[in-house]
Amino acid sequence: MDGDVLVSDTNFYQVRQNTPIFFEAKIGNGQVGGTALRLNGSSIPVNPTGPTKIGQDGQDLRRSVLQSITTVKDISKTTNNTSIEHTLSGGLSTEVFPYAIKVKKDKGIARYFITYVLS
Amino acid sequence: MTITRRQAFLVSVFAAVAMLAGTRTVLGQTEAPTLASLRTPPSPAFTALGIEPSAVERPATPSDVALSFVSKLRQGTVPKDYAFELSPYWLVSQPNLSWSDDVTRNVAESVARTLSLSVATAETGVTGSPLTSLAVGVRTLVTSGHMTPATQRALGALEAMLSQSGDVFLRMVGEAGLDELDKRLASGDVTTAEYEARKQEIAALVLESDEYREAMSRAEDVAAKREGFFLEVAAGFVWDFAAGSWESRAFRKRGVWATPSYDFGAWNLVGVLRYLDETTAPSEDALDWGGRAVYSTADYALSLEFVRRSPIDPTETIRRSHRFVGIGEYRISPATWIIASFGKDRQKTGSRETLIAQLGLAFSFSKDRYF
Repeated sequence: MDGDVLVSDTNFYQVRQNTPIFFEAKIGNGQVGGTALRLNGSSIPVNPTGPTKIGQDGQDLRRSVLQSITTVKDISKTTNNTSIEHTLSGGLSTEVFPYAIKVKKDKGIARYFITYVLS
Repeated sequence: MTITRRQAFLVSVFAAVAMLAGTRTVLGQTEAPTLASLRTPPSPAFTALGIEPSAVERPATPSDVALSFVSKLRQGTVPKDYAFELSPYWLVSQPNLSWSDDVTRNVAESVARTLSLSVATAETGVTGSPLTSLAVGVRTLVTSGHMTPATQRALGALEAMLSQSGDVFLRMVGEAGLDELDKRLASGDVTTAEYEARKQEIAALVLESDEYREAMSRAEDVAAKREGFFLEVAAGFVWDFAAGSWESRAFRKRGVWATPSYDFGAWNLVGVLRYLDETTAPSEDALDWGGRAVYSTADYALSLEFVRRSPIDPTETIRRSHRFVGIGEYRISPATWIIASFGKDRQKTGSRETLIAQLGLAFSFSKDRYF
């Protein structure tokens, strides 16, 4: 759609054997947005205010694919910048994946379509 | 648009009042300025210089700022007809600022997030005596109230809606082939680059689909509104440069504005203060202050407005004066208002007392019609 932008990327994250991980999305620049997740094709309810547990206790997440889309709408009168930070924890280390993009016009939408390959 | 019998009656009454008062009305001769003209200007440099530039540079990054200044200053003289405005806080990305962090602001946060700087130059000389004027302005909100509960609810609902549209998107890209592609990626049958290329093709198809567009159509715009106590301040300074030379600069003018306001329920209180000091015309220096109390509903508004002008210099080229006006507004259609003003101007050093009576129509779709 006019004024909208898309960021697409693929990352790898090392998990522990038979241990769930946690995903958290943070939206910056005073903008508003929402995140959706799917693990191996199945939808996961997202906690909008904190970490979301990915997988169950005892589940082996290796060779799984976690799809995420964070849709950010520009509501700011002072900037068209948008930014997000995805934080994955519970694996071998906690990793932060920051992204930023400017929407092309006021009230535009930025979509961050990020794939995490769990290994 | 249809006007009811009652509305037509009100229009007639307003018109009759205006016509009767018109025999003593002297519009445009008031000494004290209107309250609206005293409000803190959005770009103090432009206001101090008395210009409305058609093109304003608004750099979005620190490198844009440097590039703009370097290209203009490299010429060695004061740049001509240059207008520049920036908000320092927003020049860099603020990844740690969520909208919920901005519901309330302390003084430091308010000043930082609303601070704007403006710079402008203009040719103000005459033929044979070229003069370039440079104005620098600063504006900020010392306090900026808090986000209204209705806005917070609307933003929360928008978050949920955007999350739901994301669910639709991920389901659709999965059905369009991404789920199969994910398996190949996880098993190493496809490289990351190949995967990304195909993934983006699938995403583009889904983004153009009617089903996804329908899901996104529910993402309604939210105009974030704040309420409470606001204090907006600004200052502007003007220098003259003969023949555009930096060495020949002379300070000409300074202006300071302050606009405190408070919203509570149907009431809105606004104060204004403006101090103007011009070295080339000291007898015209003045301190203007005033206020307005507004009671408004969806269909009508009543307000009282007072403005007082006091000369700074004892020579008093301008006269001490004040104006006191009552204003009634009545909505005759969703975006059309009848406005009637009635009051008086008074010049302390003269004997004249001027009656104000005006009747007019205003068109506004905004709920925030006052400032």
